[in-house]
Amino acid sequence: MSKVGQVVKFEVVRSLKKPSFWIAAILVPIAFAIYILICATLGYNTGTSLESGSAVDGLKLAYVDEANYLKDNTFTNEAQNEQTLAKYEKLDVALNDLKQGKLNVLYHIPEDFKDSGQVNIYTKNEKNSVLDDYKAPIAALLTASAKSNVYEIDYKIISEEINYNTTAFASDNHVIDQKELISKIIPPAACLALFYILMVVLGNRLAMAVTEEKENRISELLLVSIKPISLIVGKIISLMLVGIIQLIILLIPVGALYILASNQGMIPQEFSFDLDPTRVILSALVLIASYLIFTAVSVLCGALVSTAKEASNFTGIIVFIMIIPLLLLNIFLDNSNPTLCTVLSYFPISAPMALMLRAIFDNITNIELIIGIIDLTVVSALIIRLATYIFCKNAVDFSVKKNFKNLLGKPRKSWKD
Amino acid sequence: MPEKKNIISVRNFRIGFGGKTVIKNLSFDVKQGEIFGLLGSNGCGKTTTIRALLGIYPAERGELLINGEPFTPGKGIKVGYLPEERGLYKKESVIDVMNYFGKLRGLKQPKRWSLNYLKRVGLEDHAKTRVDRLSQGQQQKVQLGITIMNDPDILILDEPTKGFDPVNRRLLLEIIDELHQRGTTIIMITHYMDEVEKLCDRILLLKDGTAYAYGTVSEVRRKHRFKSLDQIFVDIYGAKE
Repeated sequence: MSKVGQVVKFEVVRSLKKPSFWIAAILVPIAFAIYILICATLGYNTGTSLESGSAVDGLKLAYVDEANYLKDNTFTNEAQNEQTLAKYEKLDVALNDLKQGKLNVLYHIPEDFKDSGQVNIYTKNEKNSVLDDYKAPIAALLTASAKSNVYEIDYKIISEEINYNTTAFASDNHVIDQKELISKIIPPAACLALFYILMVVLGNRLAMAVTEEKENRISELLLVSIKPISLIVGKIISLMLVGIIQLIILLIPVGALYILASNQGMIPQEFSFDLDPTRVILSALVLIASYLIFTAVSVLCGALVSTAKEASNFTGIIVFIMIIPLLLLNIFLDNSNPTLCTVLSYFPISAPMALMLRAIFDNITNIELIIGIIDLTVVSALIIRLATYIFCKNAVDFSVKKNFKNLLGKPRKSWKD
Repeated sequence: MPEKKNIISVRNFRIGFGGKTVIKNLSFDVKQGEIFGLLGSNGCGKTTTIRALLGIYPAERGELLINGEPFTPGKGIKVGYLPEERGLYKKESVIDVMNYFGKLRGLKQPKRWSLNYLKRVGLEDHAKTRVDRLSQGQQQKVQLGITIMNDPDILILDEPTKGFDPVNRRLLLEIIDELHQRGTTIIMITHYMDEVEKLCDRILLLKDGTAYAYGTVSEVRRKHRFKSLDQIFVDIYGAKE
């Protein structure tokens, strides 16, 4: 195995042996899952259909309708059983029955309901919880009553249930298929998300990649064993591999869930897309080139400074510049400033996000994407050369402050390739 | 007896940092198989000279050759270097670090060599111990092992016994002697003049960026009225130090 190979093997193995790698690798997907769960829970609590909210099947329900609004008192519950609410004329009698355990849930529609829009819900259960939500039955009954009070179309307009069919024509006048549009968005959007995750999870690790040798005074031992360019290239390849492993860890459960859900027929027709292979390949190449330049710039930061802490500060600035296109989302969305979009797409540090955003909003041609990928790759190669050169210059300079004039001095002969 | 060939040649070497010249004009040779002492006060440029010889620092002027060519890692003659600034990958196990360096230095069976070495220096039970859990002396033994693991033709030791306890110091000197017997050329930077008198064939005393004294130990002593090296050192640097 070549010396570059030895560096790659050593670095990848020791990264994978670190508990922090696995903690980050597993925590990120878990954090995403928790985020999705919270969103789902919030939706669950605010839903008005009978599928949402706490189960009421088997509970004793009643109502007091002082406004005489309800037309019916029977609904279909979450178990698809017909359930009828008992009617009480007096609120105090109903409340009394509730307190004595004869009822579980009592709905009170006050006399001024048509003005106030207020409905009171009283519950008594063995275990009351903050997650209890019993508004679905009364909401269903109120909706049914509202429907019967107005024309069907009035109800649909008010409740925003109107279907709007849009037909969009492309520049060549062919009708754009909505599914086709979404299938174009998915690859770059997924790559943008993955790149963002890589920056968050591996940013610090990248910055520290070459400072460790300096901080631990290993540089001299290494530099009599291996050429600096081989060391830096080995480090970069290993960091790329660690990133790919991170992505695989992230994508395996997602892919497995998707396949499982597809096989079970749980994915609605409108969520199944035929992805354009060209788009998928170009997006993947943009992701790889983007991660390469992020790695190269991080290694350059590490080569410039003496300590991991300083390198982290530099990387923070780089990450900020990289996400500038996200902060200027609007100009990518409506392509209101094509010149700025183009500049950001070819300025190496902002190019990753800019290229992906333009691909998401379909403001970029495949040729432009290819030029962007070449741009990122070439600049990455130059940055790697520069990082190697600077690493040679200050590999054994263990002082904290760096003098840029010295850093750009004369190169040594023996390490030239 | 034929003259031994020069395995290291330094000619008209000059280097400086931040506008200050550290080495003005230095020329010397190291002969194959000898133990060569590079001596001088702190900051006189001993380590800088070695770093320039190994290509870590670029020379401003002059030629620094090992076996007739500038040093390139992994090419030509095998060099072992124990730097003054010593460190290891602290979070890795001893055997993993030694194995890594062994592979970088082209050893076919670095693990086997490392285990044998650890046994010799009494660290066989620490092969799987993390480096940062070893004592300073134990770490130095590991560093020495890494330095000599490629069976070097030239061994460069920068203050090798610094921080060693007497037992480890004796072990180190034994290993140096053993390598010397096998024909390894050794360059030593040290402040211990007793070690120099005992071990070195020839010495170079650096002062003000030039070679103040250069020759065999007896030649240098003769020039200074047979004073001990320790006394000569004090005479030369005493006023400044």
